Amino acid sequence: MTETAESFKAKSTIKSDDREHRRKINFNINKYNAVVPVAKHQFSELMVARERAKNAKWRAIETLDQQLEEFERQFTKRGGKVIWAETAEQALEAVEKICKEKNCKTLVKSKSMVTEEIHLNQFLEKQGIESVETDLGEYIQQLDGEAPYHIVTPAMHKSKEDVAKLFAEKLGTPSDLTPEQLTLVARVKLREKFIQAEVGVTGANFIISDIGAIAITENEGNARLSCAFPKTHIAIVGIEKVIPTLGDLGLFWPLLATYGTGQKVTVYNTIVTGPRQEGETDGPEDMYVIFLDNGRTNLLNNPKTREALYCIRCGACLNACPVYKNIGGHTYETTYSGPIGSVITPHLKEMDDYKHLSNASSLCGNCTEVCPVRINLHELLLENRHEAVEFGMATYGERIAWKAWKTGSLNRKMMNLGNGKLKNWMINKVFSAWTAHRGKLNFSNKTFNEMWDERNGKG
Amino acid sequence: MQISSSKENVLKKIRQALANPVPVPFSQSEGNTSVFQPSTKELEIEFAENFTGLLGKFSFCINEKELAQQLQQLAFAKKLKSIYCNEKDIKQKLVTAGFDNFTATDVAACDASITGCELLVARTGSLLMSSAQTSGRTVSVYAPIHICVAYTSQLVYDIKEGLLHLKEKYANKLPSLITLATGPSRTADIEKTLVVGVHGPAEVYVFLVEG
Ligand code: SF4
Repeated sequence: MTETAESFKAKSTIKSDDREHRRKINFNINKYNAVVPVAKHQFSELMVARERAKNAKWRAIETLDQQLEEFERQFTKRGGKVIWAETAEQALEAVEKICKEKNCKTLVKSKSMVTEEIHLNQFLEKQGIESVETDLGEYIQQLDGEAPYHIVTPAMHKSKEDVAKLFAEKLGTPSDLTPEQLTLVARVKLREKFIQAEVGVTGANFIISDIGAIAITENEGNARLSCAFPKTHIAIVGIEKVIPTLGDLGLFWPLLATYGTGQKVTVYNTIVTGPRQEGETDGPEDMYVIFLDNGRTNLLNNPKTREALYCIRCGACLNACPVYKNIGGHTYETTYSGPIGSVITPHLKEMDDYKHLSNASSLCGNCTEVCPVRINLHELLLENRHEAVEFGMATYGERIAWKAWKTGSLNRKMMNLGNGKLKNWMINKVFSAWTAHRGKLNFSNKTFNEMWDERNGKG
Repeated sequence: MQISSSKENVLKKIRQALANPVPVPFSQSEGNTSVFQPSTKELEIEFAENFTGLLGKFSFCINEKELAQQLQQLAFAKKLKSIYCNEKDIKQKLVTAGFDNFTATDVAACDASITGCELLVARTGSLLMSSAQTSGRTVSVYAPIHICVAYTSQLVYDIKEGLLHLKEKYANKLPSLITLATGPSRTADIEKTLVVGVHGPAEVYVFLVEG
């Protein structure tokens, strides 16, 4: 077992015993579960919407080279610049170069998982550049010197008292502030930074190839401010974020909001097509889009894992995952946690170091069930295990167990024969190492087909 | 140069990978029919309901004279001292109708801003705005209170319709920024407690004028 895997097991054993931690996570996830069904009502054909979304992502990814080139053609026409980065290092180098050119001392950042992936903040710190997180949740995490806990709700594991204490400690505010007061403190502190910063860095939720633009989804307005005040705007984006046309946003914005936060649409959905154009009042003089590969082409290369690139990072699969609920986001020690994180991380990093993540799943299928773009997550987890086994990284017992499980789970008929008890037995007994570190897992007594019918009945 | 070779390398890897295509996932679901609940009311009502449902504040004005009066009342009720507006035609119309309470000279100093919009999206209660408006990127997001003046002719039902409308309107000269804003700026980052006005405005008003 590698050191990373050891540490994961140790940490998950500790975390799953941490009641307070579990209470906070459950509180957050319950609130999420209460609003999602309401947002779903906006759809008359939810399943068709999800299937079309998957089709649109399929179309984009199957012609990814053309989509990216079309983007570049359109975007450069308006004076934007595209930088291609094969690795995190190349992306960082590009940012460094731009910051040097622009004499950047302070940089404002809106929430972006890609910048976490390449560890931008630590890098900039070394360059002597102040990098300020402006999303409230990220700001809290940055004050605390901690990585984001959840891809949508970064400070999910902190109570309001925790945050008040943190602000008191770091910013010298009274220690009994309410969430409203804390938010106001952050607003005032961050406004200075927006004005002061030479460079604004954002991610992007979508790359729109037909018009050559990026789109950013948020609720706070910090991304809008990050690309309004600073003279230079850099958007760092994974190459898989492509959707073919502007019109597709009419589907993707509501889907992302519904599954991400249980809203019909988020408060701000912003399309940026380039730097300030002639005749416009304000906006940056320069805009760069950095296309990041960093292992994404590995996922593309295997036709089976390719669909992991359709992910719109809504976080629904994390919230639905019994393992995530138990052990929480930090235990994974990766940028992308939860089921989708377990699927993609081994390909973005070294397979050997992170293949244990594919085992950090109960294979209950909840993730597949909830994914708005209908990614077959649990099959992909199996595929990773398969790759790991093929590369000879699995232990002997695991190989046998994996084979038995795969035969079972891929054969729908067999799956339906076995009710919950049988499945529980299979998991809890066959994977004997499982129970030691994961706790007993409970499967629904309904078969997969029953659940499927129920869900389709509901729409 | 390294940058351009990176581009070639990435594209090469993509093309190699795509030599093995995968089939379309759900061909039976393709099509252009709407997947959203259809409109059941007049667009004005639809918009007003959805917008106010998200804490937006809505007022209908039969003409510009009434708009000016209502703005006056709002300024009085909220004790607005400095209002900022950077859109000539709106300012002109308001002045003509009797409202000229624009004392703020820039957005940083104002306690409310007035802008127009490109379109209103009824289904989601959203304002579609762009940097082609002289308010630019900042005015509607930086002010603590944002007041939007819109006309009933600017209503569309859904987001896609609105976006395609802009694409057609601007053809090859798309504004550098287009934003769909739905209600006041909000966060739930601290224990899922809803707080408005985190970075953007805490209050958003729409004055919808007939016409
Ligand atoms: S895999 Fe699906 S459910 Fe999970 S974050 Fe991505 S889009 Fe959401």
